[in-house]
Amino acid sequence: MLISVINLGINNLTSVINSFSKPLNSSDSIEIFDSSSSNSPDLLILPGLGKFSAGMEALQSNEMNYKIIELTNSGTKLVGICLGMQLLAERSAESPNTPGLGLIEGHCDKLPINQGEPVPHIGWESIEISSTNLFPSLSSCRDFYFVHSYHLVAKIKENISGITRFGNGSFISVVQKNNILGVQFHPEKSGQAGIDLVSEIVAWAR
Amino acid sequence: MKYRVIPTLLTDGENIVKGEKFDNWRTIGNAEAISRVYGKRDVDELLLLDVKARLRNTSISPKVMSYFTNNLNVPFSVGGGISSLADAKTCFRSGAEKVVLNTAAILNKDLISEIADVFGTQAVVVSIDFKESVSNKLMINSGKIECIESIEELIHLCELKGAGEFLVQSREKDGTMAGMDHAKIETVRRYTKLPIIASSGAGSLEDFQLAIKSGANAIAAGAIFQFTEVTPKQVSVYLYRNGFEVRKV
Repeated sequence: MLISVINLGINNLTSVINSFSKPLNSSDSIEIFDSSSSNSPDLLILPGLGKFSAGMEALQSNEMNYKIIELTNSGTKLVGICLGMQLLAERSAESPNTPGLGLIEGHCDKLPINQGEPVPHIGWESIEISSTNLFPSLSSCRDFYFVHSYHLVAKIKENISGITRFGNGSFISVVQKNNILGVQFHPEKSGQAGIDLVSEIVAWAR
Repeated sequence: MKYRVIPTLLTDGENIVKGEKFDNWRTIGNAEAISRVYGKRDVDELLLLDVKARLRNTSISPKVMSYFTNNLNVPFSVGGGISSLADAKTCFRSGAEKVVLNTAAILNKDLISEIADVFGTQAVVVSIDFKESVSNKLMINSGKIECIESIEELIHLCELKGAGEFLVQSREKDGTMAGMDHAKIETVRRYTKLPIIASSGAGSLEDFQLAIKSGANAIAAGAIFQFTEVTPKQVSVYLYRNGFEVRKV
């Protein structure tokens, strides 16, 4: 299989590449995906760190946004991580003038500051999983690492496969729609729980 | 929000070193070997500071950061000599999750917004370095120069520019394992709602609990994890037994 990691130019690819390389065997490969990539990957990773507009502008500058949409529409599995999950949405309050990829119906909002929880939200949290979840390691008994100020609000209930408590409320921490998965936390930074999830994602894309 | 226990490692750009009161650095081990040890420990988070970067007229060593990126599966923050957006970019490209700013950001607060505008506020930690326990005097340049701003002004301006978290260090307590300066943690808590990483002086399990009670969201510690048998995991278990929410592994 081929895994392609999208290069936004601002994010750390090393940790993501290291973590997705672990479950691979000798006939598999992992590459950095940019506008010149002509290979057709089995799994496309959209990692992210930073501001919504900076991420989208990086994709738009070499028309990678179109390429991602095209591959995803033709069935390639896509995983958005942190900002990468938010970029799947149609828009974000962080950068109101910059449209997102629009692959998941919904928008991103700032985490509410009236929940008695500090924003940005940094740290280890568990996930309450819906019945549609495909990944056994996403269990409420384990914590994953979050660092974010915005969160995705999905329009379609069926796309929500995990939520995380935040003060008296909650935010969506896992979205899934057919071949698209979005996680608000960082699997590549989530210790053993993250390592387990990454192997399940790789198995899903095989 | 769950409380985090963060081992602090100091580097001179080559090795891992340990000091006392921001001085008297001595080598305690090879950076790559130590990064592997912490990779296996599955800690909550790690803090890596290059204490000699400013002396070398550069920012934290990319080589040392790369060891941690390759061997850790958990987030780490880096600091030491970061003076420009380009320096910060190098850190994020090297795999760090957050940058810790002190001298450059306190002298030029716009550096905070420059970095936060590209990488988000959660990626910017400002280190507040207290000079001594008897006053609220602040230091910059690895504790060498006294800072003219008051603690209140400094916190306010840093928040305004987009700091996402504060690291609270006390030079007098650094490396001593003699207990933390809880009054300073409380002082910083009084002026901010942002997450606080309390550092300097943790020498017993109880110190971690006291830091939380003073307002810390995370506690960073070096000496106790290097010179005693206490491990970060033991601290988390202790906190959990005392009613504080910590990470589930």
